[in-house]
Amino acid sequence: MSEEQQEPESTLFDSMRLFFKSIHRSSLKWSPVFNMTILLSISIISCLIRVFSVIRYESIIHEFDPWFNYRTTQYLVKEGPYALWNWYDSESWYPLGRSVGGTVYPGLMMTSGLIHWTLHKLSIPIDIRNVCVFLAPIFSAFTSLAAYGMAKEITKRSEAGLLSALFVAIVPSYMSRSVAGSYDNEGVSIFALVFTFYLFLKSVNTGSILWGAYAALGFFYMVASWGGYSFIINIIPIFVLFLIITGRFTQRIYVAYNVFYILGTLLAMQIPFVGFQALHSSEHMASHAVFLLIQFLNLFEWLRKFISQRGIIVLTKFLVIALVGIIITGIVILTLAGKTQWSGRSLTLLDPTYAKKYIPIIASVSEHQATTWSSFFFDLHFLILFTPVGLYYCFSKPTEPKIFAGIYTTFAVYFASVMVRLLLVLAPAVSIMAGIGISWVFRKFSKSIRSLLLGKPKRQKVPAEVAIIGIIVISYFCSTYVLHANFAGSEAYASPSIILSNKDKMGNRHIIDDYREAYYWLRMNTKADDKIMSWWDYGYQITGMSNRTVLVDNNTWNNTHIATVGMAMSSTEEDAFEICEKLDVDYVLVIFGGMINYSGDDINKFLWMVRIGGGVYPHIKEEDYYGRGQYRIDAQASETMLNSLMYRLSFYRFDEMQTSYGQPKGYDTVRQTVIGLKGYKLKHFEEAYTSENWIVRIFKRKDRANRDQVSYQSKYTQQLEIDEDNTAISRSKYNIKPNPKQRINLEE
Amino acid sequence: MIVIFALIIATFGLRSQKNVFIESVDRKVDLKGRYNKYESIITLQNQGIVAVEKFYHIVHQDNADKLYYIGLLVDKKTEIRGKLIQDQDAQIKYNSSVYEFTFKTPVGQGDSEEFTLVEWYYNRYEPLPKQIKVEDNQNLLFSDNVYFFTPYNVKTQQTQYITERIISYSLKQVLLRNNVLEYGPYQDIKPFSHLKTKLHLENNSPLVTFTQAIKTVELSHWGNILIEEQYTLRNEGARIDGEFSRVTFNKYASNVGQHSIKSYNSYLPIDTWGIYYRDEIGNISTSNAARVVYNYDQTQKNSNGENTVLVQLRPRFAVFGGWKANFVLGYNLPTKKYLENDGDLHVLTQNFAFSIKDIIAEEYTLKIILPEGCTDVKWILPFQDIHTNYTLTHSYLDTTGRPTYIFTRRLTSYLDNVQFKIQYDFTSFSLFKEPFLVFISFLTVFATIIAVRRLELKTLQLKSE
Repeated sequence: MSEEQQEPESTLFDSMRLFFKSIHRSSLKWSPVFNMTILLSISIISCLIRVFSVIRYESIIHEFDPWFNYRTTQYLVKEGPYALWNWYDSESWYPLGRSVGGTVYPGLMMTSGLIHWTLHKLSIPIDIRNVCVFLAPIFSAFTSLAAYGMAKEITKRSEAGLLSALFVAIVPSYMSRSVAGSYDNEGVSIFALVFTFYLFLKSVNTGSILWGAYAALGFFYMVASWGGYSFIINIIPIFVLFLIITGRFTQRIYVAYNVFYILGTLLAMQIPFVGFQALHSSEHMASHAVFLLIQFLNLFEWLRKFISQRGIIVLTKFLVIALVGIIITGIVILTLAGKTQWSGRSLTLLDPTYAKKYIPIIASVSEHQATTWSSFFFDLHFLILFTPVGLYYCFSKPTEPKIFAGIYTTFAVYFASVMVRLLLVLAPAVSIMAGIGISWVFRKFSKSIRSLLLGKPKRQKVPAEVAIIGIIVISYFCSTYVLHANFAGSEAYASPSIILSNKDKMGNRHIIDDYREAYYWLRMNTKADDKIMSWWDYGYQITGMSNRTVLVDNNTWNNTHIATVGMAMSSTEEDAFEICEKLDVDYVLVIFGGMINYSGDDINKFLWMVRIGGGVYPHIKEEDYYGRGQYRIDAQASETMLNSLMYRLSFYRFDEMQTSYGQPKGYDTVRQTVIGLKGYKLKHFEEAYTSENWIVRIFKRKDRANRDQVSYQSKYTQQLEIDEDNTAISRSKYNIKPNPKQRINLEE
Repeated sequence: MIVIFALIIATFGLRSQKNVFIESVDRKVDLKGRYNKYESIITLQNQGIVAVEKFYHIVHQDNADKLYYIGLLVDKKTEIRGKLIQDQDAQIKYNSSVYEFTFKTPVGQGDSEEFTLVEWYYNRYEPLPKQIKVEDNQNLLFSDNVYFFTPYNVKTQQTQYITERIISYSLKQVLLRNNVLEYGPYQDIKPFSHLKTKLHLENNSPLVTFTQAIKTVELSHWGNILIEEQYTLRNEGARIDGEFSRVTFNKYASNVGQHSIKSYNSYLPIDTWGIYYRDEIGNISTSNAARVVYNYDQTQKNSNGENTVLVQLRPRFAVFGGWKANFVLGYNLPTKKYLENDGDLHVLTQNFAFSIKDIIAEEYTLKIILPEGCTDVKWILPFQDIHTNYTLTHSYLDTTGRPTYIFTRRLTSYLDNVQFKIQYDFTSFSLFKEPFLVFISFLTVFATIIAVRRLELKTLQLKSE
């Protein structure tokens, strides 16, 4: 009875197995097609998820730095690459100017310039703005392809590559810098980073000179586009050093590193901004040292043939220690002697408290702050959970590429925790690691399920039930990650930051376009050579959108000049007037959010102006701006605070405005208090324009009041005065009485 | 003999027509808006021996280049455009330029004819005081000849100046009622008479003009017409005295700063789609568009309302006196209504003027970009004072470039909005040239790739082995 019943069941089971087998076989046959299709879909998704900002707002350049890049690209397209090399920009850093050609990473501009040129040659007259806006999304597609290649090179498995490509394509951290309109160096250089690593791993795997040369070319592109190239030029030597120490050094590595190092360094020197720094800056020292080290190692390998077994061990130990000692002491001595130097930003990475102590201007930038746990989670989401899995896999059966991936991830984690901005370097590492980890777990699980379905007798480590549950759980995690990335792309990182929007009670979106309103006012209604003073954050935007000269901008290369602007903002109106007159300032622009609760305004940034100003001009003291031990703007604010130019300009006539219901006039919605100083008048400045919601306020510096009367004096009195002064300077016969209203110069 | 004599008289024009005189002139000058409209109801009396075919009007040189429209309305319907003619005598002796109007039906012997002369001027105000506060009213100075300036004898005439609020006036013999100044009636005024008056009045309309307007019409035979209008706006009114005050000029106080321009309307054809409004730094995010029935009843030309797309535009910032702004308005039209064809012969019909009706342009350029490969282009100029130019435009996938015709004219307004027709030959083969090019180039690329992949290069294989 029971046998009879088993008979049809087993045939059913058999036929199902046959069915599964045929599915398995045909899917194996079609897997390259699947591979290509999935990769193509990932590329498309990575582009599409980044264009939310264009759909929600418009095709416009975002934020601050992209405006400079955009302006430079416009110049490049108009004047050609040689003109860009020699461009001396007189519109920024008045009166110093800026030699743009020598202080810029031209990779980004050259890329979009090349795309623009090619398309125009194919008679597709696309606007350069659109090239710039959509460059980052297109490069993110390339990045996911490069990540696929890199993960495949590490694991030799395409499913790991596909998962990595998907994770890189939508990782929020990378998305934050590469949405459409975010025309920043990072947009192309993350691609360059991953692609260089891929090429280097390829040359490590093959030991081929050609691939090494390609890797050097990739590195060249990275150097041309971002200062973060020093990450590559340090990680690769560290990787080689690690291999030497663990005794995994082979001739393949020797070839790969030598080709990469020699060509890469030579190519890096071709970028004017890097130049000879590629030889003597501290960021490059590790690469030089490792290069020397492997040459010696090879020498030993050769010497070994002539020396006895015992002697070799002693000699090797001695010489390796001696060499490492020499190199390290050499670097230390060079550093101490000042022959080689770390840049401020690199030092901040090595010592996170460095900037806070010495360079307030680096510390004042929000993207240079230490990373919080919440931003880690927001930007990488559940990838953090699976990275250790990938790391475990890499180190459980190590090969050279796996070791490389492990080292890359470990170092990137450190850098990312020091600076928010460097989460960007971590994002591809974490994505690739998580991709590797998940694909490994998946493979284990699916193997046991497959053996259940196809009826292979082999026993699996993981029971099929656990495997199914595990796959469901991981798939759930993956889908939450995708949803989170979608949210980040459509909401969190879709704002261009120069256009604001809010929602009213009915849920209607309102665009607040104050920035462009005021910038365009400057463009249309001021003289072409007028100079605008503002805090450096807005420098690039003013030159880009208003086409007017600014004193300081986001390049921050001259701390003193920024400190002078900081001093002007934190001085009294009279002193500020003197400074502004000396600097030829025609208009002062301040950002004020107290009217419509926009918290990123200049009053909130003011302490940084005080600190940076005080760093160079010690008479500005931060304590003076605190009232009762607190930074405040109400009636208890300190005298210095109330008299500072920034306070006076920001709150000028604000006390006549009713900002929120049930509060007295002059209620600041950001600081949630009533302002401390009311009903004052400006003596040396006048309101030239204020945008509709008061966000941008522009003040014109008035001309000096007419001097008092000029009295004629006889030769006799003039003679007397010369005698009194006892100076050789001949004075005019008109004695000009000083105007009592005018204040003394700053030096006095 | 008589006929020859009459011809001689006719050729001598305005100087000779002694027996033709104006019975009465009733002139109304509107000083409420930003431009000045003169409406003169004229009764012309012909007591000569021949029919009068032409009417002459003269404009003093002070105002000649501020005149942007002159026309006669006979029976309130037929419009006759003025034609500027060269007349040495009028220019030298009376410092004025002469416009000639040709009647459709001549005024017969002993007949009289009543018609309306419409003149539009711009830029004739002078702000006084030159600088005012944001919340102040704008006061303007306007000077004019209280006599009807004409080469004819005028029997009786009177002039009304209609203002918002009159402050003072120089010529005191006047009747003032409800801010309407009434000069006259004056009897038997000789030709070329001049009597100057100065009026100081309140007028809060912003004195804006487009210093330049460029309308580009790009035609695609795939069914779309892209029109882009570029404007540069300037306010010539009173400047701001001292500081701009956002406290008084805020979004809740709509009646403050009325002398600044806060919005303007554009009237587009009803089948418009894909409107955009931007400037050099991106979209100007303050505009509304709606399909409405609108009657722009100022010319009495089109008294019926027409279906239109009304686009309400606001500049980025309210443009006060002395300030500038520029912007671009673009929209698309289907070719259905605007492109007719007979075989290979096509006729494109477009409005000559731009779509913003209540502001005039000092320099106006109409660019028409025709499809690549069209030949035998012909058009009839609607006005005489148009300067024509030709160039090539390179757009998507063009090889030889699209023929582009540029028509430039001074002083253009919606009153010049006539239908402009341009005719050309275009074969349907040219239409498929560009897709064919794309097809061929892709085909070549793929074919090459396939060929290279299939090729067995033995030498390379040897190397890899």
